[in-house]
Amino acid sequence: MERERNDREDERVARLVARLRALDAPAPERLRSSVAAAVAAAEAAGRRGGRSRRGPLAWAGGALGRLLGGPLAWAGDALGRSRRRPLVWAGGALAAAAVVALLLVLALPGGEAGAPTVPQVAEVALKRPAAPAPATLPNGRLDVAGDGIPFPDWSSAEAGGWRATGTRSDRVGDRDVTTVVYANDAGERVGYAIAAAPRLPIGGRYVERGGEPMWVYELDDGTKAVMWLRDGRTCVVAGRGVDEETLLDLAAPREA
Amino acid sequence: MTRLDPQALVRHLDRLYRAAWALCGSREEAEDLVQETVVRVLAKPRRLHGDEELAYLLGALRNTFLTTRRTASRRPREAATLDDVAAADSRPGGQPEAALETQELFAAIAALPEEFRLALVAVDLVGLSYREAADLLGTREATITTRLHRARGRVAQALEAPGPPGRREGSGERRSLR
Repeated sequence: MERERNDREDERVARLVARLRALDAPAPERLRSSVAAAVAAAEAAGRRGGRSRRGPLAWAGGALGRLLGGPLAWAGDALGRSRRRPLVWAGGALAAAAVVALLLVLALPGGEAGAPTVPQVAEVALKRPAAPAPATLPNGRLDVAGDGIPFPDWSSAEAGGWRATGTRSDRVGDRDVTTVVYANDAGERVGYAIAAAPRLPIGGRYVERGGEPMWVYELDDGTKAVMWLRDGRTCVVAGRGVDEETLLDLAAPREA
Repeated sequence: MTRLDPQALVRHLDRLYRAAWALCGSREEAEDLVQETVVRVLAKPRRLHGDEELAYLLGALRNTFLTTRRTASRRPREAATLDDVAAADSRPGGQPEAALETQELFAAIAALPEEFRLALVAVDLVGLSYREAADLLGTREATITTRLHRARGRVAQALEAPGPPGRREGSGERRSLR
């Protein structure tokens, strides 16, 4: 009896293992495209920094060929191949560069027509509030959310004493952006904006704070902005005259 | 030491996605998790100690999950309906029933205690050897064997039980307020 039960159990587990190993669950195309674009962008950045061992058109050709597929794939593949044949490549370099430029505009980070840039979101975060301050909740959050992501209550001394003074809602490019404006006793003001998913193209200077990746931007007037991700949403905090360290501290994770 | 080729992310994307789905229990969260992992991995050059790029990437995925997604993935989740799955399965010739079974399979894995889940994901879904999985998870091969045995037994049992696979246990995670 016991043995029969064990045999049945073994069979059941063997079927499960076979099923797991034969699983047909490929990544969705939109994910594949965004990963390929991010990889291409990283390789481009590495190349600009002189760290890449691959040629400039090789990365563009390979990544874009995979990213775009279909009728435009030939262009990317052709560019990748041409880099390995320098003499042939030299003759068509001008045309190739034009194609690469066009494809980069169409495909690289974010890759979506209408997606705003992080500095554009930061500019919105710097505007004055258009609605009253939200209520504070007992769990350290405010009674307002951006694309489902709740805003924090930063009014405690540990968080720097930043009280929420108002909110605003904007449409930037193709995204809804929700902003909470905070102020401290020194009269400084910061805006915390959350842009709806999917995440915006990433740029800026990479830093880590509290183990979390963040990106620092400098706007045209020298104002600093810090960007990070929360559950796929792009978060930006910016404040005129507020230094980078303060913004990074605000953006860093802290205990509830 | 060799440098991680960023294209490894593209090469191993399907396996990373399946691992993420099993860790999170939902396709949408799996996509977010993979994207966050990609962003972290690409943020700076990465060096490998040998030829273990897949194990490295799975480790990055696991770390990202543990630091950013674990709390979110424990939120109660509605069981998928056939219509939900049919709508999500955009592949040509996609079969809603098979897709629903796949969804249930991932939900059952996601309901496992974390250490069992990680062992099963590393070996059965990603295809690491017991040795590689032990290195990745910082334990012994014998422990991996035990965890895997229990994990498989629990998943097989969950799939045979009536109703949706169980939900995850545990609470009291670190929450970030930012």
